[in-house]
Amino acid sequence: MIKTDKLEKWYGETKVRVHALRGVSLSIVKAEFIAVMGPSGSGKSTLLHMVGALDRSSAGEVWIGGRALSGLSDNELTLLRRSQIGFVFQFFNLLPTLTARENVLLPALLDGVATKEAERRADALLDRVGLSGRGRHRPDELSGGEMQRVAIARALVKEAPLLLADEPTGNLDTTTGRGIFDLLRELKASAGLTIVMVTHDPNAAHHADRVIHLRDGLVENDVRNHKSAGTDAAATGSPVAAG
Amino acid sequence: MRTLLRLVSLNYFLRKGKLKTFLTTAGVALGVSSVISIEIVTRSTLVAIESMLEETAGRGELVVAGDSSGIDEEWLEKVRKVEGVDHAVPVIRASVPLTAVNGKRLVGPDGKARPRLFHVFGVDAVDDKSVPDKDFKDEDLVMEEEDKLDFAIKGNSIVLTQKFADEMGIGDAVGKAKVTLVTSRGEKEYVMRGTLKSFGPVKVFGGHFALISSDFAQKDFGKVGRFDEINVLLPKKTIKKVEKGADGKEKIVEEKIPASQAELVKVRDAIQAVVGTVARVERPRDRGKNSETLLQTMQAGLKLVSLVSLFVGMFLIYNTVSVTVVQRRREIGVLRALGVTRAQSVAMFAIEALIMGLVGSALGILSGMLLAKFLLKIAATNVTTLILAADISKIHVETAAVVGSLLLGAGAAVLSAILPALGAARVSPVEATRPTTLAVALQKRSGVYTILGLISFAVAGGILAIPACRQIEILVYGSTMLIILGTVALTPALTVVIVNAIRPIVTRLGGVMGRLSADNLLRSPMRTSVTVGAMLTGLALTVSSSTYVESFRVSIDRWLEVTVPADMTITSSHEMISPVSLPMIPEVADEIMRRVPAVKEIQKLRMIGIEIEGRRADIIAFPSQRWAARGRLLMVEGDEKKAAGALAEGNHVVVSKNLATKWNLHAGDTIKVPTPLAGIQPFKVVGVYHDYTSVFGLISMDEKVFWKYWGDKRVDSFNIYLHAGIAHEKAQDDIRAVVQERYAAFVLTNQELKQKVRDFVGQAFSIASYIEIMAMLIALLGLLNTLIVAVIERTREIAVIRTIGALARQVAKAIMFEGVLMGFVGAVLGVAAGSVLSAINVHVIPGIQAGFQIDYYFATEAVIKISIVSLIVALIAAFLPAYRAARTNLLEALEYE
Ligand SMILES: Nc1ncnc2c1ncn2[C@@H]1O[C@H](COP(=O)(O)OP(=O)(O)OP(=O)(O)O)[C@@H](O)[C@H]1O
Ligand SMILES: [Mg+2]
Repeated sequence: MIKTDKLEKWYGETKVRVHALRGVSLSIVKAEFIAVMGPSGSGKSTLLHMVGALDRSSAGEVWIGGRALSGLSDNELTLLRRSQIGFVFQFFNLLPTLTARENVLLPALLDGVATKEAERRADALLDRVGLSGRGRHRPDELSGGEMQRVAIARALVKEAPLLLADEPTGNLDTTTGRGIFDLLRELKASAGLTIVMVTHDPNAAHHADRVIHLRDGLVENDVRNHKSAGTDAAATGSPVAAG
Repeated sequence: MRTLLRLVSLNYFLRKGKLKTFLTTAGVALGVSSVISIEIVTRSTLVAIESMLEETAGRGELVVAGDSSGIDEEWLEKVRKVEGVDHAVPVIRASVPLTAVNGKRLVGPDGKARPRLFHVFGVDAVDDKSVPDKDFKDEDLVMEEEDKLDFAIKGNSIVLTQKFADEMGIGDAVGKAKVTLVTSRGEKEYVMRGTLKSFGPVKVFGGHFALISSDFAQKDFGKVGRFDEINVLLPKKTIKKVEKGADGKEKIVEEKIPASQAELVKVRDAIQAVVGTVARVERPRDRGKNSETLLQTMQAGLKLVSLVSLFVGMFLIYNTVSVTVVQRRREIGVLRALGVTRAQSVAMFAIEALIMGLVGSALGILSGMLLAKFLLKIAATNVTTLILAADISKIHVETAAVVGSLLLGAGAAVLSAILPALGAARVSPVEATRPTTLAVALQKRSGVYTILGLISFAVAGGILAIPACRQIEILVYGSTMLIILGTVALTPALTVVIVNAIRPIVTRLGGVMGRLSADNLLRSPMRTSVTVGAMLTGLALTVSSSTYVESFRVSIDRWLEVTVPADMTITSSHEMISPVSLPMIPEVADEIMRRVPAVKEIQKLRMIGIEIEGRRADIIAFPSQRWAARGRLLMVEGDEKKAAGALAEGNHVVVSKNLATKWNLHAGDTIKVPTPLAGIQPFKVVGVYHDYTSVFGLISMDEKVFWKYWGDKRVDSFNIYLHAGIAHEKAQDDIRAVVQERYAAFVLTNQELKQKVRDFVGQAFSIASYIEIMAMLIALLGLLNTLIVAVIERTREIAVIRTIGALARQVAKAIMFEGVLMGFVGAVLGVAAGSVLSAINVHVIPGIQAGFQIDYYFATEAVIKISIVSLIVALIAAFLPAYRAARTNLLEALEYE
């Protein structure tokens, strides 16, 4: 699904250059749930941006579904994002003039989904993230956690195969956070979603199939989480999945 | 505070806000520029006209002036004999076109003939100083002694201004260079005998000023035996005064002092007693009043335009400044959370705005001055050919205007910053740090605006519904302003209506992005109204005044159609019929009748300016019986046939509607008119009719009545009727051949005459229309500016849309759509507001000004043109930000906070 090879990213001019990524090589298969961890400034967000085709790498290569990103034009990158990738940002980035429901709808409409169908999906997703009653509210009328949940619903509405999330639970209380993780896991299981999630929450990492630790722009270690298989199985029986 | 400014404000400017700061400053500059440039153009035009009036008012302490047909020479001696009169100098003057220099025709840039309107004064001798100016000194005249002699005895001598001579490249060709003037005997060549350096009249007429010997002036301008006026000087008194000299010794100094007020009044009454009703004796200063009505008419238009431009300017400033502040709302929240007081945070924004306001205003004043200069230069070449001989190309800047605009610009900027900053500071810091945008912040107040808008309309409507209020200028202008304000306040609500109406079309044209942009406007109609406010006002102004001009044009056209049915008209003047024309002798008609068999009938018209109890009016004398048989009078009061019959019977007149309105006259009233031959005569008004010939108002009487009281049989224009089935071209040539043996008169066909009137009307309004174009230009630049600001404000939003899969092209398209939609909303509302304004303009303002009553004709063509132009500009204006939006770096935009 995703492959990176000696991925490097630096910012700024030669003298004041910040090396955010110094050669990251990864391989992520379909329906894998990855947690990316590491200290602040280690390059987690940067990696996510590279993988999400939001920014170009300085060196190295990223492949998504077998396509090398470096050769793609801006338009092609956008189309790739549109069809393949859902994003949840660290700072929700909702459109302030749109209601929660409209925020969720937008990507589907952009993707050419019929309005009726898009609305159906949006309502279902809002329901799933526990916001069925708040669809008509604008972001400035929602709490941080609620905004985050809207952002997740928005990332999922296109039913894209890849979901990238930057600290999706950073602003949430543990219970709500756990609800989100459950949701993600369930999606992975039911729809075969590939998820890359940046998190500082060690508990959250337990939910993942694999935890990648970054330090100073390099992969420090990359461990398969055996416990996650068990939780996975447990999740299948969870009320969310059943519903 | 210092820390705040240095840390927050300066860093904002250096790091993120350079473009925004620039745009905000530019917004202020544009606003101020529109206000001051229009103020300067208005002021300069008025000053030029006023100083022209002043300079030509005469240097005498008293002026003896008849009606515009002048006074007979015999009165000069009689005036001289009046006790207390020291000098009495005749004045002969004419405004005539100068058509050629050294035989070469003067042409405009378009290659068409463009004569210059010249003010020519007749003087007894060049150094006689009867020239009406206080500062005309010997040094001003560059002339050899023998040329002075030639000037007095040779009829083809002229003294031109150095300025004009230099312009034409004949500055050093005294005695050789020749110029051609249109005299009442036809074109005539004069030899330049000397030049005048710059002094009063030379300046105000822009060098279009000349002297010729008075005897010849009388002949050449059809004034044999007549003067235009007589300037009277009182003897100066010599008094002895004791003064301390430089050496400290007291000595006796002689000083000449002018006559006292009491003496002046005494002499004035004495002369008036001698001349009776032939002429009025006045102080020159009071004479300017004659032209006041004309001035007021111009002023009215200009005043309205500059008032509206003030709105345009204020909107631009409010828009750009408030947008930036709203955008930094979160900053206020953060600062407050960090312990900055409410007052401090507001003050910080106020000071930022003050700096931008001052810099912007200074730039605006500079650019406004340049703009005004440029505009006046273009306008001057256009206006001075027909309407004004005053030189309006010089810019006149008043310190008050400069200081005023500086304060206005800075003040408006500070206010525009304080209002939203206060809003942000009032809520809790937490609230303020919540993500919001201008759209959201503004939306909360939209209901209030709708109510305000409705109230404005109601008040304006109420004022205009009361006839008494319609007569009060300030109330009329006030309601005009209310309507503009009301429209802007209603824009949010109306935006929703308009966008909803065209949403299906937009969706079909633009797909998802089209619909998105329509929805975006629907969601934030307040932002839209702020963005289009300036454009809307500018457009409303343009629409209303072009409709005003169109209404005048069509009304006059229709009046011409029925009132002037003649096949051809001979007019000696460069204007239509007017009291400043060079009258012709009546025998011309007989000669044409004899020599051009195609002519069936000729009617003679004579028009003079008079003054009745200090109020200016024009008299037109015409063959009422023949006229009634041919043409029609558009009667307002009285029966046409009966009135025409009554006119021939003696002291009966019909008056034009504008005179009737101004003087409150109705059929059956009597007016007392001073006549040179029979004293003050009562005339009964037998009808009121539409006539646009004179801004002062027209008193029409039968020619025989006029001859009886004025003894003046000269003719200003001949109306010619041809036998049926005659080729007009041939007849026109034949008539021209006869007329031009004697006069350089114009022989115009009906069509040509109408065109001339149209041109005249066009020129009369041209200054106003130049200003409109300028206001529109600035408003559109404002639209560009505000659109860019609006897009910058949404940089983050755009980036979000891009990350979730919108193509750069799509985003650009959506923004273009939004721009065009906003342009469309602005255009629709601007045209609507303009139509309301023009209805007021057409029905109310002419009544106040000249008393004219005109019908409403919408300037469809002009409005369509200007609407298309503004849509195109909106498109262009939207292109830049769209291009920018498409290229924004996604991550930078996202991590903006
Ligand atoms: N636009 C940029 N310009 C310059 N340097 C940048 C930029 N974006 C990131 N960096 C630098 O790159 C490094 C990696 O940043 P990144 O945002 O990926 O860290 P992170 O692991 O996500 O940290 P956190 O957990 O705090 O979000 C940091 O040192 C950061 O300062
Ligand atoms: Mg990060």
